Order: sequence, then C-alpha cells, then structure tokens
Amino acid sequence: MTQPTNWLMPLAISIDWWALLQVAVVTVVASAAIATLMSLANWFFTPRGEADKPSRPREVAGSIMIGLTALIVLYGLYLLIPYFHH
Amino acid sequence: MSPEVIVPIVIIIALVFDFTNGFHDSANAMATSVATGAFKPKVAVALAAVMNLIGAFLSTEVAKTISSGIVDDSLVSPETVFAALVGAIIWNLVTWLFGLPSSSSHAIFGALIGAVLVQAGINGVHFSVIVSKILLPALVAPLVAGLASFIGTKIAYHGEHNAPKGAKRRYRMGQRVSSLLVGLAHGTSDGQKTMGIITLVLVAATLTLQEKDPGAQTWWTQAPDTAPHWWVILLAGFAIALGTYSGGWRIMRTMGKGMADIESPQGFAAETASMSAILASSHLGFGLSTTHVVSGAIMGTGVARTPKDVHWSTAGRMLIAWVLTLPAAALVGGLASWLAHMGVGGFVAVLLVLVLAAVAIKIIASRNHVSAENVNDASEVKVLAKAAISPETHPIPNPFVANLPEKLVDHPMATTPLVLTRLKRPKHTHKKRSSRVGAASNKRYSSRRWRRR
Repeated sequence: MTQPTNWLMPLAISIDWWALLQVAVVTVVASAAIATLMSLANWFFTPRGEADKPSRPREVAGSIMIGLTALIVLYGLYLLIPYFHH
Repeated sequence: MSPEVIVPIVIIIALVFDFTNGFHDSANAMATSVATGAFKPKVAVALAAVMNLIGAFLSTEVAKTISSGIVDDSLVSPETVFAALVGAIIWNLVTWLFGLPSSSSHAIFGALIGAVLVQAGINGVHFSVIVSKILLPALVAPLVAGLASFIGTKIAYHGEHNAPKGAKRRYRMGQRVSSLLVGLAHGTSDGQKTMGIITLVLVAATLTLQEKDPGAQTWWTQAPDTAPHWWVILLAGFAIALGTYSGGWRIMRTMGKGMADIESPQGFAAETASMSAILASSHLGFGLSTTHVVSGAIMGTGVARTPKDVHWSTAGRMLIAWVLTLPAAALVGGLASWLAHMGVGGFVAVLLVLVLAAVAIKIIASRNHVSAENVNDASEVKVLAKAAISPETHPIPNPFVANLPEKLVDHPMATTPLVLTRLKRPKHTHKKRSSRVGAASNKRYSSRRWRRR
C-alpha cells in the first residue's frame, strides 16, 4: 500500500521574522542617520548672520558630519564585498 | 535533444536574459540621479554598467544556487531552464514596453515555477519557499524602503529649509555615491543569477552526457557543487553591463519622472534608503528585490514632500505589474516548457516565438522612442497602436505645425496625434493675425480653414 501524499507539506511555511525585523530596523535607522548627518553638515556649512562663509569651527563640524557619512557608506561597501568579511 | 546542441543555445538565451535584466534594472540605480540631474543620462548608464560589471566579479556565492529552494533542483533539465528563460525574457520585454519597473528575479522565478509545474507537477514546487522568499519580501521591500525614504526626506527637507545654500550640491554628491553603491549591489546579486543559471544547465547536461559515456568531457562539462567556469563569469558580467549601458530609458522615465516629481534632497533620501535596504537585506539573508526597494523608496520620498504630486495612477499600474509578474511569467514558462519537452520541433517553435515576440515589441516600442535625449521630457511612457506622426516622418502641409517652435516639434508629446490636433489652432496665431489684418480677415481665414477640414 502506498503512503498517502501529505498535500499540506508544501505549505508548511517557515519565515525568518527575526531577519525581517532586523532588515526593517537597520534600513530605517541607517537611512535616517545618513540623512541627519547630511542635514547637520548642511546646517554647519551655512554662514550665520551677515557672514559670507561659515566660521572655522562650523566648517570643522560640517566636515566631521560629512566624514561620518562617508564612514557609514564605507561600512556599506565593506558589507557588500564578501572578500572583506568571509 | 542532445546536450551538445542544447547547451550552447541555452547559454546564449541565458546571456540574452542577462542583457534584458541589465537594461530593465539600470533604472534602479540611476533613475533618480538622472531625474534630478546628478548625472547626465549617458554618464549615469555608463557608470551603472561599470558598477554592475565590477559587482558581477566580486563573488560567485549566489551563483551556486539559482532556484533558492523554490523548485526541486533535481528536476531541472536544460529544457526547463530554457523554457524559464524564455518566459522571463518575454515578461521583461513586455514590462519594458509599458515602462513598468517589475522584478527580473520574480520573472525568472515565476517562469521556472511554471516550467517545473508543467514538467513535474505540484510536488516539484516548494510553495512555502515561494511565500517566504518571494511573496513576503515583495510586500515588505517597498514598505520598508518607503518608510526609510519618507523619514530621510523629512529630515533632509528640515535641514535644507535651515541651510539652503550649497545644500543641493552636497545632496547631489551623496546621491551619486548612493546610486553607484546600488549599481554595485545589483551587479553582485543579478550578475551572479545568470552565472547560476548557466552553471545549473552545464551540470545537468554533464550528468546527462556522462550517463551515456561516463568519461565524456567537453569544453562545457562541469561537476556538481563547483564554482562557475571563468568564461561563464566573464560572459555574464559583460552581458549585464552591456544591458545596463543600453539604458532601459522607458523604465527610467517611469521611475525618475512618472511616480513623483523629485528634487535633489529627495533623490538623496530615496537612494540612501534603497542602498540601506539592499545592503541590510543581502547581509542579513533576507533577499529583497532591487526594483521593489527602489520603487518603494521613490514613492516614500514623493509622499513625504507633496503627497498630492505623487502619480498614483502610475503606482497603480506598477502594482498590477508586480502582482502579475509571477503568474504571467509562470504561464509563459509553463507553455514554453510544455512545447520544449515535445522534441526538436517544440524547442524550435519556442525559440521562434521568442524571436517574433522580441521583434514585435521592438517595433511597437520604436513608435514612441524613449532615449537619453528625451528621458526627462515626460512622465509617462506611451505605447502607440499606430505609427507616430511627426513633422519629420510624416510631413503635414499645415502652416501651424510647420511654424511650431523648434522646441515643441522636438518634444515627444508633439509626436502623438492628439497633441498635434491641439496644436493646429494655437491662440497666439489668431491674435497675431488679428493685429495684422484685422478681425474680419481673421474671421474669413478661420472659416476657410475649418471648411477645409
């Protein structure tokens, strides 16, 4: 006698909800962080009052923000290239 | 059909699919950059092509498994892969014709499911994997990317409001970097997909060949669980790069201008959200379609700035295309599989259908040509049933059309019959004539003109 086929077997769904949550949180946090850093950089680079160009401390702060953004992007590049982390 | 004959044909068809994948998805990386002027159109596609080429060479891990457990790999024969490729190519071309960004991965998976269903029945397909690896990510990708893009846009516009000077330039720079990374990620995932397809065919054909003659070796034979041949990596990399360079301007128009009117900060937010989603998903093992991610991000940024300016009709059409991709590609893949397994005649018939479909789609697309020159001129991709009428191709002895300003004649909208009808009686011509020869003459002129019609 042959074994009856279990038709429900192909529908036994296993979803990695933890990975899904991680992807959602990392995506939102990373893009918000980059946007915030860029906005801060723009704010620092903008001259205040009647000045033609931003003050030295503001320029340094703006450059730091851009540098931090670049670091996040470089980390993304690191993740993208398996050679670096495998 | 003998493996020696079928293998080269399937390799060529796989490379054609890779090419269509390239031009279908080049918009993913570059649409917003082209729309906001961060890159000139031709520079954008050239850079995207280079990034895709580099991406294709970075890793071959994805290439080791093409079906990702969606179908039973042991049931896949060269004919099945051929049928799946035909289904995916036809769906890619149809959606390209309508300028609809749909997932190439979903097209190949759908066609593969259809081909295996016809060949092996319901037991050959793993429906649980379809839900967890295709349907759920298709729902999640646009929502997550859209939310990230929405928040990014709100932040970027808050910042820009406070610091408008020089901000655009910096956002454009950020957008350029993000879009290049999206291009690289696309090459890494999609370039390898074709390598995987070709490798799968080579392994299946080698097993068939060695069943008859155990020691048989040819230029393409490949043992199971081995990395792709160097020439497979090279061919797949160049095919996707060439496809990307050829543009896919119709889809780029939809993504860049058709969904929402975007500015530099929005482009930056959308590209950053897309980049974050793609990197996070590929690293954490929850694959998301690049097309769904980028489309969701563009919608998110549009809603964040001015929701009423979002073109919901285009979004609706795109959604329909997404829903239809899997069943439509499965239907074509299934039909092709049924024919291809009937012998040489069926195989040739499928090949002929593919060629005829491609030629027909190309002819219809050429009636309303979208290129690097006019990609940003309109927000909609039109598919015209009749040949377009333009002063160059169909000279009309009409003084009003002949006297159109050069800018209007070159405009793609001026090639549609509807627009030409509207342009036949511009108001300023009446005024000009009235001022020159008087109202009575103008009246006579008008009535004569309308009688002539």
